[in-house]
Amino acid sequence: MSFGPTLAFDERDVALREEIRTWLQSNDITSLPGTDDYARRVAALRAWQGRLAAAGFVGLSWPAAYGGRGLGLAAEAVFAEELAGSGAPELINRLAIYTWGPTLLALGTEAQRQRFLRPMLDASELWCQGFSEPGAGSDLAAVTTVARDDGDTFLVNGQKVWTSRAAWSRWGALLVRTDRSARPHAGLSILIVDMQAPGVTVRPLLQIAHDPHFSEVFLEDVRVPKADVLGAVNDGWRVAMTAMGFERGLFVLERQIRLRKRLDDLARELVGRARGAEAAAAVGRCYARLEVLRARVYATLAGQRDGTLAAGATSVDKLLLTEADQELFHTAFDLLGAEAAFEESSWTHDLLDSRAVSIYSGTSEIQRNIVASQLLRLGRSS
Amino acid sequence: MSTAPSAPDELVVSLERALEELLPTKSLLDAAASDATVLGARHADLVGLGLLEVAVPEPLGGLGLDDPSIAAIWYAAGRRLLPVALREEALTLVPLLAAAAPRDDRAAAALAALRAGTRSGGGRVAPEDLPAAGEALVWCAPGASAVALLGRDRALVYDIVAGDLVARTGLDLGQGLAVLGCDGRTAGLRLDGDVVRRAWSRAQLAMLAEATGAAERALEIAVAFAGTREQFGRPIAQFQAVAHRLADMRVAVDACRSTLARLAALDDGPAREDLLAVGRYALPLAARDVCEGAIQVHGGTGFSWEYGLHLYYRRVLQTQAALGGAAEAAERLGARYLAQTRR
Repeated sequence: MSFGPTLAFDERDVALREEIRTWLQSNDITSLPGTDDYARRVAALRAWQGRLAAAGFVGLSWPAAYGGRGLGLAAEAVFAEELAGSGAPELINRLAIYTWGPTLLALGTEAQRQRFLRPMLDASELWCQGFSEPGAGSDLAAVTTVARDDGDTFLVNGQKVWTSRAAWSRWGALLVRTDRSARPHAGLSILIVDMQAPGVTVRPLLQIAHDPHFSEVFLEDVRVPKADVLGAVNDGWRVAMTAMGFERGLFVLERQIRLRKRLDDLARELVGRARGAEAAAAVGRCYARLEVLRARVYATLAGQRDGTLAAGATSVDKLLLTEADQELFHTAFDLLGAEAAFEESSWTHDLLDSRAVSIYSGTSEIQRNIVASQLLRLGRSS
Repeated sequence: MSTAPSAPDELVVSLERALEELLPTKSLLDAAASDATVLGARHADLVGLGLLEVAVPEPLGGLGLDDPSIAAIWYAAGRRLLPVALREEALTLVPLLAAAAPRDDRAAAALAALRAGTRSGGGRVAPEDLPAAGEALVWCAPGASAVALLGRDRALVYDIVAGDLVARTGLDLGQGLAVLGCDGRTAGLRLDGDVVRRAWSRAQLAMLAEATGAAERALEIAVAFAGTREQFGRPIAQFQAVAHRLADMRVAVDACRSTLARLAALDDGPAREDLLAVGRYALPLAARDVCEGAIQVHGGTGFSWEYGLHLYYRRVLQTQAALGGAAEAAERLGARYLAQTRR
């Protein structure tokens, strides 16, 4: 159709939804430690994902040979919606499940798939992703972390920054320079780096709301076996873009549902307050943005399923997510006012945190560049 | 999913090509300048494309197309600015007459005359419930002999004689806007129930598709212009300020298209109605932003009458107003959301 495909759920998906919903109702996670004790919190989240994996709900679209259930993306969407909709914590290893697992399935070697995929599912091995560097943020192709050819291994030196969950991860997918003589995009590779290897130092960085989610990562003469290059040597840019394409669909869907829960929270907090038509309209606008975002993710997942997704298309999803996320927390702050600002409040925490969404995995400015160049084909702009 | 047949993509593509030929921009501008609907000269040709058959059930000899197909057709119609009166004829009046035709000879005769092109008509889809009485705005082809008012739960069809309709000049010129005084007038046909709800839902789907198609076309025109118009020695598309505005317009169009795809695929029911309420607010608003962006990217050219970008802008603005307007739609949406949370 001229307006594109959308995701449809068949009878098997409906049955799966019921199965997951029933399981979640009788398998609640008990007492998740707060953000002030991150080590215990992470341990609890890993155990939670382990239980979900044991029940067979993680990696639904992965082939059975690698621990999945061989179902379609609609099944993954059902799981993401039910998990987020139940209010249960998200998958702590979702970067592996939604991004690097699918990338390994698409571009990895058989040995890599055998080694890395199963421990992703039950969160026994967490993954992080090292793209940004102090001197390479939006200009990602300017990375200077170098992997020098040294026989059977690469010798890696450099620094990564703003690396989420690096402190608890076993593996890091790192974008490094393997050919310094090539053009910036052409000399890059993705290495799967053992974050516990000698020479890797992880120093947690506090974020805007004082949470230690991300870290800086220092790499000094770290030895990485050549078998752990993901994709071809010097083809890292394409591998990275493939990974980012996978990242959007299910990740954004889960985020969309969580934002809907927060809008529900806001609506409950507004009960009994004097509020006029303007407050209702503000809530209505947030709701509309979230429903449009969901429709967009369904279109993206259908495109991924059919293999018809245009290069750069998921930048649209990222921009829509950003608007929906930031408008929701602005609206909450505006409607709750002093109450949110002058006491410890999840609303101010989330408002501060919502600054991240227009920055992480490509700023909104970079997303617009991608839409302009790849979807509209406007040519280089400056 | 409904079991109604789907129109193949090629049919929609060839329909758009036919519309492009039948409705050149010059003719639309002339019609707008004199506020006389282009349907005077083109009605028979457009009816000849089968547009009045799409919502006539197969047992009555029509095409009885499914909702995704009807959305796709009015998406193409929006891209080529098909007159609004024809949409009202095809998706407001015709389905109501078709529903009554099996047991109402007058309705059957009226439907047959419309399909043969010997009579014409029009109507209006209400954003939600039908107003109690008073004046009704309708869009009609010239010489309309019947108009339909279609709300969510009930619909009325009035027989029209000369003098019943008073022409009105609206924002989207040349569309056959008129006023019908309903006080003291008896509807020839009254309908309610599922048949009305279905017609109402799909007519709104078509309006949202039309606005999306119009916005997409405006974006295409702006992208083509920005790639060739040079200032400071290079195409203006190469300036990031322009490129980012166009990117935002693309995001808006894609958001509309995705919402439309989901709306069209949903069966009639509460989920469709919830998303329709979202669509009434969000889609015309996004389409409006796109048209405004297209005019801005064109600079002085975009502000001119003869270039015609204002035709898309007018169509989208009118659709927004006809669906209740952004302020009211957002407030209703939020009020309903808050009420559901309280329960």
